[in-house]
Amino acid sequence: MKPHHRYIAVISLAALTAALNVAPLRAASQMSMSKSMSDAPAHFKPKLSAYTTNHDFLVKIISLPHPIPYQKYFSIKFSVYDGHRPNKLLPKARLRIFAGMRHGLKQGFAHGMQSSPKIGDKKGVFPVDGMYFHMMGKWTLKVTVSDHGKKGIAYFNLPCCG
Amino acid sequence: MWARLYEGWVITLYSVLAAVTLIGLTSAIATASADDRALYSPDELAAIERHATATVHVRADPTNKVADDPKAAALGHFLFFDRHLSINDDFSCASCHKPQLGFTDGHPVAKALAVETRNTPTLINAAEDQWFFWDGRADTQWAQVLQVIENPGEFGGDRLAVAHAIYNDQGVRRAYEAVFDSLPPLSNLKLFPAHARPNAPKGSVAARAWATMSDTDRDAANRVFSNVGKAIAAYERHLVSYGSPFDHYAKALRTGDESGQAQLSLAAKRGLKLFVGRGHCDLCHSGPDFTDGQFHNLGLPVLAGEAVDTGRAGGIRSLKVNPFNAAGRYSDKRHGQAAKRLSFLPPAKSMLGAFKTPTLRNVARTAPYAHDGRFTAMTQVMQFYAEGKAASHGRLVGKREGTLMLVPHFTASEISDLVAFLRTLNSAPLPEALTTAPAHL
Repeated sequence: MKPHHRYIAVISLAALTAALNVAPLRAASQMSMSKSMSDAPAHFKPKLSAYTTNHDFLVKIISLPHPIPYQKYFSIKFSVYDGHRPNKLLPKARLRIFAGMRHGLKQGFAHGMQSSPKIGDKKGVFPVDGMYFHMMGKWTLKVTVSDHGKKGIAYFNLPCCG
Repeated sequence: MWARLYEGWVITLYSVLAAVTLIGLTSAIATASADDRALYSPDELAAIERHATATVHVRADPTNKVADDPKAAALGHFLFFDRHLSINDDFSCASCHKPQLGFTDGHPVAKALAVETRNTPTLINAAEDQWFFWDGRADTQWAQVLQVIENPGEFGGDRLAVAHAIYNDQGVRRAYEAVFDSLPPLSNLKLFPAHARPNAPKGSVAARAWATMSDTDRDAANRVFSNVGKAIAAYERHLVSYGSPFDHYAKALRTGDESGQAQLSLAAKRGLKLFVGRGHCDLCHSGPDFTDGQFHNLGLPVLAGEAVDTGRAGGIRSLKVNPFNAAGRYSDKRHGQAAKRLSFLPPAKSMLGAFKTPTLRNVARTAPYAHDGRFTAMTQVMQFYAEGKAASHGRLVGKREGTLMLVPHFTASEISDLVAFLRTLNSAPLPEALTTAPAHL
C-alpha cells in the first residue's frame, strides 16, 4: 500500500468516527421532533360550558383570565343553570371544585392543586378565588353541583399557561 | 499484467474510498458545525428558555419593609455570622449554611445543639422562594430565621436573649437603631428578663419569665425579634447567583452562538434534552430556579430508625398559628398577596409526606440530597426515580404523587448524562465580601 493510500484510509476512518459521534444526539432530536415529550404549556381554546354527566345542570365559566397565569393565584367565575331549561339560573345551587392534572390517566388525577380556593355564592353565580396552577399542561376542573337533592359533575379542561 | 490489473483495482478502490471520505467529511463537518438548536424540539427549546435567566431579579418582599435597605443588609450580614444569637455562643447561621458548601453543611441532616431530622437547604437564591423549610412552615424569609434561633436543637436561644445581645453590644445596637426604632428599655430585667419565650418547656426559666411579662413588653420583644429576622433576610437577599454554564449555553442557543454552544459537553446536552423532554424532570423542577416552589410526596419510605415526618402537613398546621406569618402582627404587609396565600392553604392531611421541591441550582455543591439527606450522590437520586414505584417499598407517609409515573426508567448512561447536565447548574461564585464575616459593623 502506498503512503497516500494509508492517509486516505485514515482520513476516511476519522470522518466516519466524527459522523457517528454526533449521530445519536441528532437521532434523538429527530425522534422528539416527531412527538414532543416536553412539559410544554398547553395551548387550546377551552370549552366554557359543560353539562353535568347526568345532564341535570349546565355549568358555564363566565370569567377566566386569558392566558391563565403560571404559578400565580387567579380567579374564575361560574354560573349554574337548570340542565333541562338552560336559561334558568339556579339561585340555590351549591358548588364544589377540584382541579387537578390527569397526566394521561383515564380515571382520577395524578395530582391536584396545592391551593384550596374560596368559593363565593351570589345566587347561581360563583366567584372562585385562589386558583393556582403550579405545572404546565392541561388541567381538569371537576365541578360538583348540588341543588334540591340532585347532584351532578361537570368537567372542564383548562390550558396552563400563557 | 496481473500486477497492473491489481494496481488498477487498488487505484479504483482508493478513488471510491476518497470519494466516500470527502462525502463523509463534508457531512461530518456540516453536522458538527450545525447550530445546537437543531438538537432540540421547539417545545424543548422553549423549556430551556424558561429555565434560563437573562437578568438577576429578586422577588419583592413587602412583608419586610427593610428587605432592600443596605443598612439592614449590613446588620443582617453581621448577625448571620454572629454566634451570640445561640444559647451557648457556639452557633451562627453560617455554622450550617457554610458559604464554601453553597450555604449548606454537607451533612445528611443539620447538626447544631442536636442532630436534627432534615437536610440543610441552600440559601443561594432562597429569596426567590415562596415557602421556607422543607415543609414550608415559614412563609417569609425573615420568619424562617426566627424559628432557627428558638429551635432547641439548633440555636436553643430565645427572643429575649437575642434582644439583650443586640442591646448589650454598642456597635450592633447602634446599627439596629439606625434601621429600626429605638430598642425598648432592656436594661430593666424585671420588665425584660434575660431569657424568655413562649412555647418553652413548661416550668423552664424561659417559660416562667415569659409568663411574668406584660403584653406590651412581650410585643416589644417580639418586635425586636422579628426585626432581627428581617435584617438577616435583607442580607440573605444578596445571596443571589445565576450565570451558570447552563445559562451561558441557553444564551448561546438563543443567539445562535455556536462557539458558546460548544462549551457544554455532549453528555450534558443529552442530559438537558432528557431533563426538559422525556424525563419530565421539569414538571416539578421548573423555572429559573429549577423548582416549582411546591410540595410533592415522592414516596420515600421511612428509613430504619427514622421518625415519621409528616412534611408539608405539619408545615401547614404550624404556619397557620405562627404569629410571625405574613398576615401576623409583625408583618409589614398584613393584607398583601403573601398574607392572602394563607387563606388558600390546602387541608393539611392532603399534603401528608410532601416536601418542597428543592432548587437544582448549585446542586453539585449541595450534597447530600432529599429532605433527610438519604442520598449521598446525585446518581442515587436518579436511581431512585429510575426504579419508579418499586423504590417506594416499606413504610410510606401519605400517598406517592401520581405525577411520578411520568418519569421513565433511566439507563445508566442516561443517569450519567443527567448528572453531567446538573453539574452545569453551578452558578458563578458570590463575591468574597458577601461570603465572609464582616470584621465590624
